[in-house]
Amino acid sequence: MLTKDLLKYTTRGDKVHPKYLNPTDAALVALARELEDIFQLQVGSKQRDLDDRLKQHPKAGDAVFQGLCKLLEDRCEFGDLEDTIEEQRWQWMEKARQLRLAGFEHFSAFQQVLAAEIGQPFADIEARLFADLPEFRELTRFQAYGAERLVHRYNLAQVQGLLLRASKVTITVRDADLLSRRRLLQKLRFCRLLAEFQEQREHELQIEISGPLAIFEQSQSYGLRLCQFFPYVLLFQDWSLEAELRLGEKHLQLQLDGKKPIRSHYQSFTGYIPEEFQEFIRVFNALPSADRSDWVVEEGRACLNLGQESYCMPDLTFKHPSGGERHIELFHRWHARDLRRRLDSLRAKDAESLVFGVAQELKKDTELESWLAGKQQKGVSVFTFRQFPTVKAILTYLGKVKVVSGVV
Amino acid sequence: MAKAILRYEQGSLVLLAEASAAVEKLPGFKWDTRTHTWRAPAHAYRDIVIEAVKEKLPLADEARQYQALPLQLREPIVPREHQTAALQAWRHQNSRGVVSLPTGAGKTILAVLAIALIQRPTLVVVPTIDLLQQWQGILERYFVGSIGALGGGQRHIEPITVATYDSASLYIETLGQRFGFLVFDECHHLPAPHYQMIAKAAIAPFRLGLSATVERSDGGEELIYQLVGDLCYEGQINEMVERVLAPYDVVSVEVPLKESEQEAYQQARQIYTQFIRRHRIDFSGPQGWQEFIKKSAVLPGGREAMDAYREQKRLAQGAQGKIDELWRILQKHRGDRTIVFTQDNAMAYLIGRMFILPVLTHQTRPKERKRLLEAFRQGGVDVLVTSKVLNEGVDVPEASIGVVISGSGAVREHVQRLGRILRHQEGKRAVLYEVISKNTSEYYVNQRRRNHHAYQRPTQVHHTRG
Repeated sequence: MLTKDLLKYTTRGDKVHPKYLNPTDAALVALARELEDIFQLQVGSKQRDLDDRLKQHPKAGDAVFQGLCKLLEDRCEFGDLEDTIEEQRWQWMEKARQLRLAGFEHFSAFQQVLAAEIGQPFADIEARLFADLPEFRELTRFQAYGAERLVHRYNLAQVQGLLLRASKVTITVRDADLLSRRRLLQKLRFCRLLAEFQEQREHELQIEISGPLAIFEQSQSYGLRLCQFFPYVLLFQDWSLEAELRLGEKHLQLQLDGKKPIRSHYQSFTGYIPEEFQEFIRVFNALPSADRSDWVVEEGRACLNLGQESYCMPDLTFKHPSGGERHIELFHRWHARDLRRRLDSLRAKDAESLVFGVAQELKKDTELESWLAGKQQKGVSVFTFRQFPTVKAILTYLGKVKVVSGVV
Repeated sequence: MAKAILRYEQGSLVLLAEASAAVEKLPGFKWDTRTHTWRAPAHAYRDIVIEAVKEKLPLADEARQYQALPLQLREPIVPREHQTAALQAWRHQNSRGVVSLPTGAGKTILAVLAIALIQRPTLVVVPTIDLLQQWQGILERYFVGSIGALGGGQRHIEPITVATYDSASLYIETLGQRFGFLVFDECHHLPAPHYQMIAKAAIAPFRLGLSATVERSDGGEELIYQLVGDLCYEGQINEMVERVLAPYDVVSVEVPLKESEQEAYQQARQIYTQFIRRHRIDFSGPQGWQEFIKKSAVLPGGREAMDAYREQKRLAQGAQGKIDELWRILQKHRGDRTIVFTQDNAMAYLIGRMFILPVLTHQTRPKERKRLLEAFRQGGVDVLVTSKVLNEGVDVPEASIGVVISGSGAVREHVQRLGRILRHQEGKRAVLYEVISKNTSEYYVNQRRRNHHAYQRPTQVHHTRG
């Protein structure tokens, strides 16, 4: 993601126009390639060495150069810093304080005595004193985009940076493939965005999403999720976007469509799985099979037709070797209306294989809580979670399930 | 006449009125062609309501979303003379205005007294997370009930809330009608484009700006006076010494550059000044620096000139002689609580490594930062090296010696750094050392700075031999 100072755009009237790079510009592609090479060569070095190397580049002061570097930094993995250094530092600082108080005319004499008392050369003490600063982290891994793709990624990041300043975003996609449109809705919920959608015309899906500026709490992480969602829209050939932005004092509009030179860095709808999902799937499947009663979990990919033009794209799907399946659909704090709609129209036969996770914050509404209790009495499976369901909560539920084959 | 309705809408006021005659009598309203409504900036709320009452216009006020707040101090405060005078001057200006007081003169307590007096929900806006926590602590001490916080990951709004400028500017459109009183700490930050929004998009009729240095080199203080109210009280450092602030000395120490440093300095300086002369860049005006940046980016030789500018500055700020001098000062004031200020983190860590001293920068982890400040207050740590994080606000009353190794050259920064060591304590005499590289631009900047009233007192200049 690009920081505010790296966003390049012009404004005319109340419209904002991002400044895109030309992905076929040979000089730009060469610069992108050179930068990726620099990052690759620095794997195994300290972050400070990488920073120094980049600072020496003749284009270091250029905003495009800095933007490309920022995107490449996001593709870096750094090693952990030593966490024992802080205590060591305090011990050395205390020893140094005592010596300073004793008095030395020149600091070279002070350094010699200190080194002798600590029992290490002063150069070593000096080198280790602040070795837990981020600049001393080791670059352990770097994932290149490829030069041309990096330029595309820059163009996409320019739009994402503006979306972080949106109060409302309206996205329209047109595609004959129903499954693709449903997948987009699934990702919308994956990213936990506050949105309304409608399908007014045939093959056309319109989604109105509240922007980060319309959200009071956790707006930063919400904004990042909106940015993670946007590249899915770019997987469609025919799309358009209108966003209401606030840039400084100005209220501006951003209008984009499929003709702009922006490309998704996701290959397909399976491109991005939020971290909490990945972690849950990893931890659950790593349990001994007896502990999870042979259930295996995967990212929900099904599109379940619940009748009356209602579809469910579950977040997680649990599969049993006997052929049984359980789908989990999660409802976060902003999805009270969706939850009511889903449970009110749920048919008894679908209720057998569907489990609904409800964010605890939703249950703060006592009216909704008692309504949910009523649904549970009628056999609907509901459990609550805080940020994300825990493996323990799911195991408790699955433990009660009689394994029968039944896909909706 | 049918009642006109006044509403708050995303940082502005909307008037729903059938008769345009009603609108014409009210200040600030303009016809918004986008929404076909009369719209005024939220900060005009007070004038609008006063005018409506004066003109006996029936007005349904749906904009204000707060009520008077009965507030009582948990413990009595006996204001000092200058605090009483400042409060009176502010009241005299209809509870709007800016109070300029040096660090350590009790600006926070003045605000506490003002909040207790005004009895309205209050939003206090501060520049940093450290200050947010510091204000929260003080307000909790004096007022019953929880104090809200907006910033640094905290987002709970209470009738009295402290927010950082960054967070307040993000959310003011949803909060602008919920507070009747705005307090801007370090209000010289307010003219920044994003921060202006806080004052513009809030309806609060009562406003108080606090700063030790309101004047800005770009003349931005005029905007502060427009949005917060005129300067109503100004207390000078030199007037408060002994009574309110610790007595102090400013000592300038001029150190010569080493021969090799001097040579490299002259070379870089020549490249830089030649570029300036060739392109007639005028540094006497406020736009000089901007012009240099622009021209150096596009004109031939510009890049070399910018590099040369940085190099000569680096040489002057990081001269070896300064390190030697710093050691001499630390040895002279052994045991005294000392803060060493640098222009950048690199210099701060260089000093830290050479003398094995604790360094406090924005890279210091919050836990260790807290530990460092606590140890400094208790005396377990006697010297702290810092770049800019201690320039503003954070309370370190025990510090009595300040050593400025390098800085931006701005008067504000130096007055703020001086303020760090001036909190009054029995028997304390503070000393601010400014270590300057001789025959460099630092020397001339230092001379200009001496015109500030904080320096209008006996000052010593020490020369060290090269």
